[in-house]
Amino acid sequence: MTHDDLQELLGAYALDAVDADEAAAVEEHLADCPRCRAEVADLRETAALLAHSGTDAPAGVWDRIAAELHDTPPPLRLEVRRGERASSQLDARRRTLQMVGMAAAAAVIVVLAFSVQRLSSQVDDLKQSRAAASSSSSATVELAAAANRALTEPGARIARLSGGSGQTQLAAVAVVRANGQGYFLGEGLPALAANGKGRVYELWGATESGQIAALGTVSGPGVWAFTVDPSVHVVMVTEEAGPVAAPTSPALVTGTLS
Amino acid sequence: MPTDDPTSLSDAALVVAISRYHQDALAEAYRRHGGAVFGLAKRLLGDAQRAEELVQEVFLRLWNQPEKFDPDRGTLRAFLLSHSHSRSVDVLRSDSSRRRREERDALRTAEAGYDIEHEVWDLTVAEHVRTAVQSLPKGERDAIRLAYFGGHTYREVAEMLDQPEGTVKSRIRSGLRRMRETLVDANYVGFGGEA
Repeated sequence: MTHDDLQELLGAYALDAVDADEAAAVEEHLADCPRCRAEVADLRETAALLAHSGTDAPAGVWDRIAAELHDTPPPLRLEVRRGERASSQLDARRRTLQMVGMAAAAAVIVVLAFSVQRLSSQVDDLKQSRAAASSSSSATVELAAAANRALTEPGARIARLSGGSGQTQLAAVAVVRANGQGYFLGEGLPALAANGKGRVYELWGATESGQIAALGTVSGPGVWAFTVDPSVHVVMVTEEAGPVAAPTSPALVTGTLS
Repeated sequence: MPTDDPTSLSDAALVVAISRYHQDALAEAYRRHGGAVFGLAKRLLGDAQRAEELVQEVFLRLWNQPEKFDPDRGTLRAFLLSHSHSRSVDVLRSDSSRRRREERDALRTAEAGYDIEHEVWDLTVAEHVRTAVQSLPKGERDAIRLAYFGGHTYREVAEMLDQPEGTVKSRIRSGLRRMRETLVDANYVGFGGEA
């Protein structure tokens, strides 16, 4: 099916009114096409307004739901927390984590991986230079500053992630505070190729027993905030053709939290 | 935040609390949206007991996989209703209630004056949604109604309305887009994830 064919199906798809094979074709396309993803979300939002009804929530059902909650042990949960809302509409609609997207930060943060002790003054410098450059960038500076505080906080677990082969040695840092708040400092990752349409970095957490869960999808090098279950002890990054539920390629960088 | 009274939290904040295992946050999400989820499932399935089972499934999924909700993609209500709708349609397409439903829909299609606007209830948005629905050409209205409330595929809708499949497919999309434009003007869609 061409892009136009798929686009023409989006209304019916949003109403679950397509056959299974068409639904599969649309979903495959949506993984690579942010514009069509946004349209489906918009159309579903519109359809949901049709369903608004004055009915009260049925009372007996809640008791059954609550009973299930007691019976079910909490699953491994690795939740993504976005950073501050991106300024552009396009970014705000993507499920990506906020990044510090500037060359100056890249220089600072690659150093972080090898010199955590010196971080504090460097981030202060960063904050000052950014404040001078642009008052609207305070959110990204705050994210970098929060990562800085976490790195020097007692009880925080830090992973130095490394990988790559031959001439391309890659490094990054993940830090997880005692409360599960984590920061990933990934400015050392290479920028995704501009022509690599839809390619993303996926951040994963793994437990000692080998369970793996997605921490988030990111669109390029940067600093991101996330929260993570305390049972996670390994953090790794893969490059994927689009958002995926499980890693499909070898880890680019990996490291153990300690 | 999790120690706050859940009734004062936005929907997006409720989901964060749910992701931290706060049952009272899930209870509040249920109180806010359980009725709509139940209403849609019952409308599609025509069976209160099965609709209740589906409501249970929808909220347990929110509990177990709260990360599936992305507040940048729309409201929590739309997210829950979308899940309720797709699961109801799965049930309809896989079992024997299908024939009964088709008979019922055939009857409704034949009723003169029957319109999608009769399905719209919520007092706070009913007026604007009604306006948006009324502004649609009849062909779009009928196609959306049969697909959304009847749980039919666009091919089935085309057969029921005796129209080409491509026409029905286009009308569903153009009708929803037209409704959305009207509702964006009234600030009912496109405002992010707050309650």
